[in-house]
Amino acid sequence: MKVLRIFLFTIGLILILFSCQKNNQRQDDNPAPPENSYSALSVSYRVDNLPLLKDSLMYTNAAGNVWSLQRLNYFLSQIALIKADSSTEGLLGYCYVDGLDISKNTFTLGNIKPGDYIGLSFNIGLDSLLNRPDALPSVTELNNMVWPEPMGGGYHVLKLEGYFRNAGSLFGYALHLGTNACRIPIRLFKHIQVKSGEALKLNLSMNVNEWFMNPYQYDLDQDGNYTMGNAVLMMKIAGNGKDVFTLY
Amino acid sequence: MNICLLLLCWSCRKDSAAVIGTFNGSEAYTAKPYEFNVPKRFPAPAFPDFNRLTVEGVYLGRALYFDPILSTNGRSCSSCHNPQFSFSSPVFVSSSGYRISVPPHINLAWNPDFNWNGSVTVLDRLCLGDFGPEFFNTSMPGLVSKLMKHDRYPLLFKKAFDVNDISALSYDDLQLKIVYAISQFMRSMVSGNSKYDRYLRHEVFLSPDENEGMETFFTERGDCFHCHAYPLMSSNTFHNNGLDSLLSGQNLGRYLVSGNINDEGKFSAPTLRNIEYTAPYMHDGRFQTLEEVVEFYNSGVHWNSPNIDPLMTKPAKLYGLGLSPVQKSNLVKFLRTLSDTAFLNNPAYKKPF
Repeated sequence: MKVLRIFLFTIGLILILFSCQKNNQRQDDNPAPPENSYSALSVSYRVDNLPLLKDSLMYTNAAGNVWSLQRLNYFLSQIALIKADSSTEGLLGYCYVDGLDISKNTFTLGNIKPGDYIGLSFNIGLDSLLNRPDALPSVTELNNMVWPEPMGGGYHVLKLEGYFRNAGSLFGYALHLGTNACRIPIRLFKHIQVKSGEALKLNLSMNVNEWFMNPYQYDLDQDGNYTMGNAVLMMKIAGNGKDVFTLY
Repeated sequence: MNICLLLLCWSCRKDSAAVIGTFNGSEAYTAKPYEFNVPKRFPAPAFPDFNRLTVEGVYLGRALYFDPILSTNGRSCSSCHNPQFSFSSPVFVSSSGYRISVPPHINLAWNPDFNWNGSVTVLDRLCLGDFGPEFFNTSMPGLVSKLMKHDRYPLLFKKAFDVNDISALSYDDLQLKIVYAISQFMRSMVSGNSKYDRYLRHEVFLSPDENEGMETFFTERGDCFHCHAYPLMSSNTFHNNGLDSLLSGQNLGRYLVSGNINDEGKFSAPTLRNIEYTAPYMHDGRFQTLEEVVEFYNSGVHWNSPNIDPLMTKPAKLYGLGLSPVQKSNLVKFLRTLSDTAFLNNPAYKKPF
């Protein structure tokens, strides 16, 4: 019995040593791949030339509405760099953004292949594979973005809420977008060179006033202060969304 | 390998001995981790590292929750958080005269803050104020004496927190351990088995009336879902739902905590789980029935209330939702599908001895 134990112990030891050697061998056979670059995306906000401040009734849109902002929540999805041949290099599947929470505006995109790119593409809103019930992890802030199933299901594309002054009184507005029809594809062109081993930081800036203009001037008083469930108003706001971001 | 096996066996034997060992006043005791079951579609709860749930901690908390031993006036936690009312109770009138609708203890493991205005952000601090004159009027020397003489608590404290001698704890430390245990018990109280949960799990059908009520709840017709999102049936954020046009006193809500005028009139959106059992409603208990609540949203919202949530000011609905009597009735029927009798009757949430 004692001899058997020693035999088994020795066999075990040999197997462990061999397995270690095999791992080392594998590393030697495969030299490290070219060093990829770490990348991150950061979003900042402005209202034309003014900084965006929460609950500040000091902004004027193209229609002359004086407005403030209380909530700004949205998704970005299918974030990718665009190559010269129009193919894309995917960076991140999706991220949830709270425009008024600084901790929810910077995202790690992971490693990226060195090379030259001509721009950045993404959607405002989730892509159709994710924009369905329970597609995202159950997290309160994501659950609060659910677009109810009786209204089509999935998640809000955008929540833009605050107050505006009208005839001396203060009214609320809530511009909510949802359903795949309101997803806003964005392509921003700029030469981006990614060097091996160097960090790449992509900076987006949103001009919140762009939601109210170009191509459609949106008047909170005349057009309506509430869009959810109103396809015409939602498409108007979604149409304006294509120009809200700049890449710098 | 054999040696390892032998060591494993020894270590297991040692653990078992500790678990079944009786309290002798000095032998170290390690409490067992509590298995917390997260209901389907619920977020992962966040538990603080300094007060991890243990089987023994939850049990001690449960015992203390129902026991007037903590007070000098016969009160226990369950006096105001009665299981019959989903661990809530009708209005509490504070010493300063304010009426407060007692928040239910349900799914607190997912709450980021507590009390109607979010004045407490850590559950493990929530009950510390209850030792004061307004609630328990606790005599600490008296409490220590009662706990020491009790036939169970010395062992329960030993098992939960490895306390060999309750009387050796400072009053602050004893209060903290009591509150930690009660917090563990409150975190263990989970409701995720209402009729609506079961409907979503395809286990039951909703009646046609409940189904229509659900449509009202989850569409712009009622627009309840923005502040009461599934599965917690709360957004876990603060809103002014337009109860008053002029705000003062406790009605200032979140402002009293943040000092931000933009928070005036905002209150934490309560969970609607077991809402049927937690009357009266709103922070001050001004509505006695769910029908009154629905009627308020239908026709009584003060759209000119400062900081009223933008969601409450829809075009053409400034003066109410315009629901028909049938739609209002069906909305209430849907709200009742959020009742979880399994939670109310769960033996794990009842007085243990």
